[in-house]
Amino acid sequence: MTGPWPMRSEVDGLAPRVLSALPQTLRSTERTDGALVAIDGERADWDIAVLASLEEGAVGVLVERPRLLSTERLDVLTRTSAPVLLRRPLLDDPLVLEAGARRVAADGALLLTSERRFGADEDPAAALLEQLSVVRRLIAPVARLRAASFHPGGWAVTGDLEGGAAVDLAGVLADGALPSLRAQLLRPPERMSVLLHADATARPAEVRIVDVDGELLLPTSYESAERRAWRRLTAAVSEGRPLCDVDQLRQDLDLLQRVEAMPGRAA
Amino acid sequence: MRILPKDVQSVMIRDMDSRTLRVGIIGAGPVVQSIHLPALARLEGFRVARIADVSPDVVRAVAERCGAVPHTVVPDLLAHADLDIVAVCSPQHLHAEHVEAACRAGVRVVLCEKPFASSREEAERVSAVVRETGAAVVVGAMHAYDPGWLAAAEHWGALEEEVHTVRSSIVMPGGSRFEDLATEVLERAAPRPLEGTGAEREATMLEALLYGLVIHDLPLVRRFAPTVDRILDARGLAGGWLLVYESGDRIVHLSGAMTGGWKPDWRFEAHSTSTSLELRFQPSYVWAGSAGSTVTRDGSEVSPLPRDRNGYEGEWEELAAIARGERAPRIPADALIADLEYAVELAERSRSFILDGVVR
Repeated sequence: MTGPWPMRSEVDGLAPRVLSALPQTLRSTERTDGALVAIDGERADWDIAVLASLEEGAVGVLVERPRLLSTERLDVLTRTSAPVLLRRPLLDDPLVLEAGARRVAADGALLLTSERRFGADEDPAAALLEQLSVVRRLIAPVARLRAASFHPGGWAVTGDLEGGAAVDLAGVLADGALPSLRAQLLRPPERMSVLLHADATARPAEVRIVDVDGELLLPTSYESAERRAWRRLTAAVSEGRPLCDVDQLRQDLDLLQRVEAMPGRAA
Repeated sequence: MRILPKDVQSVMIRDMDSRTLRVGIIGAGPVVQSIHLPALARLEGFRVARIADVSPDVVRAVAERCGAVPHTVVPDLLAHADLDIVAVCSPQHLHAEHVEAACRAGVRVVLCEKPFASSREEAERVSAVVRETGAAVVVGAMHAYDPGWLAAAEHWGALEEEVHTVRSSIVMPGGSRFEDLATEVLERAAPRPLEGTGAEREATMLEALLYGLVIHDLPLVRRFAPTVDRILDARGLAGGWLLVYESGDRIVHLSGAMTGGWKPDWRFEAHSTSTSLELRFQPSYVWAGSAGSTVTRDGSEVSPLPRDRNGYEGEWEELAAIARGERAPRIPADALIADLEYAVELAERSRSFILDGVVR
């Protein structure tokens, strides 16, 4: 089945933006039956809204910036009848989405450091969750935790990657600077550095790989994470592929909960 | 401005005629050959008059390069009262002894490569001699004299009081790559193999990297994070390190490695909620100018232009200004001791952390 797909949005300002970016793929509708539905993840009951939309016949659901839910509530969403995409902006960056094929092997790596700069209007727990998710998707999961310290200006979380590399994750409240996520993997003689812009623009992420011979900048893309997310959803629906980001969010949430439960964690 | 003693003034007056400062250097190893001699050659107003090293062949060859008199024992170099500045560039464990000897020999201005002592006791002993003799000492933690760092300080406002996160990340190729790009180095000592096994070896590795490389940034770190409180993690990796600790309500992340990749990347950051400071230092040894710096405050950025002088040249300009009586040391003796104590504390606490096998 191909588009254009009817799309209904309950998120303020989303529909005109997305329709103008994908005018041949999507068209506006007020109906849920047979449509792709955008749900506001800021709602406390966004999980209920997803299920309700699917019951009403939605063929796919996108949850815009979902707030954190308990793992029990997420479990209900892991077996849905149609694709459910959770739009977390950094994770929908084209570069992160395509990272699987390009991933620098973490085996033999020495050290991964990452810094998530976030603004006062961001939820620090969500920002840390995003950092854990990006690290897992781009490099490797954090397999073992060693220390965590939280303070009003951010956090420090250390541990080990699957494969043994040491990990140091920093959270930095920096209202004076643009929000971003940086990561650096040292795997002698290689070094991979990542810069992701955590804003709504299409500014491309950068991944650079330095080795003994030179430096390689992986191809950049000026497609916004929002447009890329809608293309991912429509592709899954068109091809009849299952798509459920809930499993991934659940894994990341498990890790976040382990971080938050670390002994010696400062309030 | 500090008024210098009369005997110092007489030395100054003697040199005011030529404006050339006579320098004696203790040690003729790769750091002297590839950093200090080229830096002095680029600057005006210095003449390397004497060099001492235990290796007769090396000291003769190095002295010949700059028209200096070679000595194979330090007392011979210090016996000559014609030196305005003595640079102590001997092996690390001899620094304190040689600074002390230079001060007692009447040298008025001493540059000591970092660290200037290897324990609190040594630091106290050297400090007493410095106070007693009235000599001025500059320690070669070159980033504290980097024009990029000094320029950024004019723009960061209340960052020192408000900072909540400090990060230092050093990624270097390792080996002698940059030495060989700066000069043609004569004879290198073989690196000392690490002793011990397991946790002991890991702690020793971390300590060596801390005193050898991270120490360049520690005066900067201490300015923003003046105490070492709870160690969160400390690791000596194969050619790398990770050290994360709390300093009051601030968090400090120190990390890095020698990767063998071609590109160096040496960064220092300090962040408060409203202000972020980022410094991108040039690698040691090569003449690549000062750090680039950016201060971001309330949605605006200030990036002072990099200068063509690096931190080593900054050190020598500082030494010249002190020797000429133009100003007192930018970093007073008590701050030098506090910097050293900070490094010693970090090394000792990290060692205990690793040996205790603390994993939370």
